Amino acid sequence: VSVSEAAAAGRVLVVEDDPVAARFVMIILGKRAGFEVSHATGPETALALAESESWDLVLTDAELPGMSGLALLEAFRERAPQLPVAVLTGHSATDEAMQPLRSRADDFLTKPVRPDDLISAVTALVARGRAARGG
Amino acid sequence: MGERDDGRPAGGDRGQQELTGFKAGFLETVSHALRGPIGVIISYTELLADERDQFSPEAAGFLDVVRRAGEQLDRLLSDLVLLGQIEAGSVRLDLAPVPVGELTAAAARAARPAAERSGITLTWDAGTGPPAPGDRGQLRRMLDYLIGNAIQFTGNGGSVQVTARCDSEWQVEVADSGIGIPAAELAEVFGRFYRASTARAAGLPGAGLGLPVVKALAGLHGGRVEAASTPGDGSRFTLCLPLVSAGQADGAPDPAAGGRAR
Repeated sequence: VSVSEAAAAGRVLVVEDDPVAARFVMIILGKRAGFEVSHATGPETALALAESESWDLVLTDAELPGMSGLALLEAFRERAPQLPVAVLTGHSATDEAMQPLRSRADDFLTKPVRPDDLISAVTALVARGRAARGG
Repeated sequence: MGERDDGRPAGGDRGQQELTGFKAGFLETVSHALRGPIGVIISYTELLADERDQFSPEAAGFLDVVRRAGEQLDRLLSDLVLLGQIEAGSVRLDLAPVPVGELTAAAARAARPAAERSGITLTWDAGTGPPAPGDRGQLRRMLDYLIGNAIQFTGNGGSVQVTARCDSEWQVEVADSGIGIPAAELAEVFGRFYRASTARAAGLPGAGLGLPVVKALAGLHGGRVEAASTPGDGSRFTLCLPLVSAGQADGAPDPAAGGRAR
């Protein structure tokens, strides 16, 4: 997949502090599905990147050092209101404590995520985000 | 035992509530810690499977063993957590209109390779009808469990038939030609850790958590699950889902209308 083809498929920002978990997501979305994928390991870099570059989707862990998942989601919404944000977490989807985040996020995926489920969720969100932005 | 430090009797509603709340919180914390490494095992065996053609058939077989064990651990963990949350009343569903017929067909389609590996003919017939209010992920979980059970308890050469029909409610029936469940045990199979004598005698693995999870989730959706069986002839499980959620009937906001997600 060439760089321009990957950008055409969609630019995805992965926010994950665990390098092993991040590597899996990068391989599935980058190598297998052909997205252009960048990786930020913490909230600060992720928010700076969300502001300085254009993305089709942010896929973020819910437990990052220094900021709660919900606070990070709100910060993304503030800086880039049109940008879809999906959460990928090790918590159970039915956990009461996760509900505010779950209802605010564009999608809520739980680890371990199946590669096909991850690809179809990301593909749908990228398409929806582009449609909403009228592009 | 039986008394607390202050001399008052232990237990009571509040004590019981605190205990179940503690258990659910404990389970969630432990499961979150376990899910990381279990997720790594599953994810990376998945990546290894991409390189399958470089392995000997024997090594590819080992890989499948590791992957299945990882998936088993993940499911066990999710089931324990969900049952703990239900007990503590802290489970939350993400309700949205769900096309039950389509979801049933998708679950059956996904189960076909597993059925084929076991020499079982899996067929499905998904009708049309209005969507039912439900948590898509949890509805899929119920269907996966019912279909997975049917495959597990049906021998080589047997069949599993999945049917989704909508009349005044959605009814998804999973019928198999498997070992069946004795009549006296039929009501027990929804109990936690219960394993039918026919399953134990056949040496089939399982923790006895799948059906309790299905029953609990069906209840949370305002529905129910029913079982019928003839030993030696097969079992039939029917999942019934109402077309109107309990929340809507109470005048609660339409779950489909709010929220950004889905």
